[in-house]
Amino acid sequence: MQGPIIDIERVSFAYDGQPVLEDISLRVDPGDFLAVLGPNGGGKTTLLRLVLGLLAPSAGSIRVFGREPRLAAGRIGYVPQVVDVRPDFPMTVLDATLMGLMTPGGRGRRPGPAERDAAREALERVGLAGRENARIGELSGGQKQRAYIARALVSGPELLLLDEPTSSIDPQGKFCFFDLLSELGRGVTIVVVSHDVSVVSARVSCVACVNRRLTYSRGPELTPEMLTLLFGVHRHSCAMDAYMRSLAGTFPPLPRMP
Amino acid sequence: MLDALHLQFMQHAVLAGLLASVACGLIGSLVVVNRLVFLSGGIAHAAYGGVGLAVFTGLPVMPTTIAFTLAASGLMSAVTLKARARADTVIGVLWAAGMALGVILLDLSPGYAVDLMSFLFGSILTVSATDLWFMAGLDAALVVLVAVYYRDFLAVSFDPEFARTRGVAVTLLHYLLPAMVAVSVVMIIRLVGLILVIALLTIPPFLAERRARSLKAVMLASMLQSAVYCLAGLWLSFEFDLTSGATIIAVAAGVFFLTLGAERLFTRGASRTGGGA
Repeated sequence: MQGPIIDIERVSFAYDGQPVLEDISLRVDPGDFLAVLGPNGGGKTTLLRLVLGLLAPSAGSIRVFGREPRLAAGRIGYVPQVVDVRPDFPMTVLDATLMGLMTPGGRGRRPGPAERDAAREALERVGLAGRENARIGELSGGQKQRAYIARALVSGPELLLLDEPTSSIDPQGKFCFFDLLSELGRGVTIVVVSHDVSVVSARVSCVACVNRRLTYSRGPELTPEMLTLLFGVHRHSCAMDAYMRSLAGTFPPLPRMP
Repeated sequence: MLDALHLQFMQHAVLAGLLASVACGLIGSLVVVNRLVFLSGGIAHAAYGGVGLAVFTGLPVMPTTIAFTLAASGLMSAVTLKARARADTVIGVLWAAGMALGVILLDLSPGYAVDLMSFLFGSILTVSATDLWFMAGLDAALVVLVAVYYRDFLAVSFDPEFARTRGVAVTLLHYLLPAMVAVSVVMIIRLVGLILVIALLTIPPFLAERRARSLKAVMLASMLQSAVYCLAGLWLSFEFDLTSGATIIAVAAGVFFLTLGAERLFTRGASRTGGGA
């Protein structure tokens, strides 16, 4: 039996004395599809950066694949939020994808034919076949998002971390992002971080809410406790409360995936 | 010009122009891609402090200036790393402080006879054979560094956070690139002077970037461009008895504005045709 993929124990983190995360514990098991919801500024991205080893916790411990996060980064596919790239940035979509195959020991080495093939295959998987030689800045926001997913997939990661993946999806796109995530197969563990509650409509297997503290539920349900963490405490007379109750009803427990 | 090539100082000037173009193409491309133009301006002007230090202490000018400029670039890198939000102000202060230090040290130097203008606007016609060897050595070092860290530089300029997750030494490169800028700037100062160096670093990559699909292509195109600007500028300055550094920059700036102007005309014409169709 394999141990947990991510094991966060009583972790706190503060930026310049300002607490961002307080006493957070979370376990992600192999094959989980976890959605981490939370308001902007609630500490979601900080949580991802801690798992990636880009930040170190102020207290508590994080193990990824049973190791220090920094040492596990090679087994993680990371899809950051799409940021603006100027259109004339001199890099093709293929070269951007090849960034996903960089290794600490590979300095000065040019990517070989096998690596190029892997990158092409990853681009095909996300529906970007034929755009390999376009400049990365020429792609639309949604296409860029897909190129970043290809860059994360190209190394065959066991854990995929996505930061706000729905923020740049082409609204008119034929490409279904959640279909892609579902068809990645059993081997890949996925953590999606978002402020957009609709990611729960993907086939997530568990949900966590982060707003400085963290609540967690096994199964794709938003508990009233989570909604409180997301939107704050409201009195019964408040219109927000009725909305939150209706939201809770929108996401009934789905049958657990086998 | 061909007659002039029999003159040794002209031969040296041509070689210096070609050698500096290698550094210009490599480092200018990295500067433009990483948006470090302001930082490079700061490094170039702070270099004047190094000139002052060399004259004041009687140490050899080029090595002393390089050492001083490397120190200044390290300081600027540290500031941009630790206090990102204040970086532009601090670079601006170091920019001026370096120049002021240079001026004061030159004031204090006994029997000071160095031509101040030659460092501000270049003195390509006084390049010695030793200078040429020195430049060739620096070029070789830059070529090796860029070859080794090419993908890392590209990854960092595109997405530093992702690069870090792939094990790229982001912090090392954060210090390395300004250090390489420092070395190149001191070399190019010989040609065009520290006031004009930014133009020669940025104009070729800016123009090359409009078509290129890889950083490598930007670098090669920039080297060629800057070689052309240097040779054309040298020839014009010889023919019409103009200051060589300023003439080189004038050629580069002329191409820059002509290209932008032509592009504007062309796109306007194209959109008019498109609108009519």
